[in-house]
Amino acid sequence: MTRARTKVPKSAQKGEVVKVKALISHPMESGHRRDQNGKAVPRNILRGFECHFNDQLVFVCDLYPSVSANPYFEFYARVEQSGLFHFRWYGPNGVLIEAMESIDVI
Amino acid sequence: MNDVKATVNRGRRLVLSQSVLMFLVALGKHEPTFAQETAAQNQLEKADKSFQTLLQHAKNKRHPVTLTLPKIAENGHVVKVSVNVDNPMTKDDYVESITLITESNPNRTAIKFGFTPLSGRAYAQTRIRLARSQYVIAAVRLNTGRLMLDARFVEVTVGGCAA
Repeated sequence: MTRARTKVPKSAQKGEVVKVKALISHPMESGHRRDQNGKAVPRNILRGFECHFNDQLVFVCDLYPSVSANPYFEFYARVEQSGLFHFRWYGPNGVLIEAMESIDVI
Repeated sequence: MNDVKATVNRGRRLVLSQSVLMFLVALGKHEPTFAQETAAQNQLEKADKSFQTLLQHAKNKRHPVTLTLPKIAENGHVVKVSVNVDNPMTKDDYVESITLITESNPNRTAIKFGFTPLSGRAYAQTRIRLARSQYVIAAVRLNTGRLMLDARFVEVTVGGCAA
């Protein structure tokens, strides 16, 4: 149900600041909405997002109900050596969604 | 004999106090909604006041913060927003966090980004919901504790229902 799509350049120069994109399919139900029968739709939102590069924190995000469905983030990261981008989304009840992306530094 | 009476009395007192407690609890269920409402209202007004103060600061001061939002958002469910801060991202001087605060969404804080010197650039883009036409503030915090602001007004055609 929750599919993550991430994108980083395949390769980069040493010390280059690269653009990172992360998208995940998630309803981000705010809990403020009511369905056709007037019953409140239960809240279901991702609470956090983290991006590590070679186990070092690059970007972190606290999400609130005002974030649109299918949260999308675009940010930058400075890469000094080849390595792995590790993306983590935190959902309710201990849900953890992960994705990885590698980059070659020439 | 006296002992028995005492225990009975104590028991009765206990029952009495319990019923008083129950009554108070019952009261608590109905009556305080008014008190709670006023408290909530007060809190809202306080939040409104602090938002207006922030807004004044954001409008008066020129900070190296660029909050990009459409002037008119046709669909309040998906409003593209990006923040860029002209600040070097070195170990001693970097942008620690950017918080997007909305004027009249049910949850005022829309999103909070956190950065490290490894981010290379203090920039983030995402999509948020906006319930109606309103101001959005980007509050930027440097690791030195300095606060920088920028604000934009967004005209929302169709509100993102109860963002």
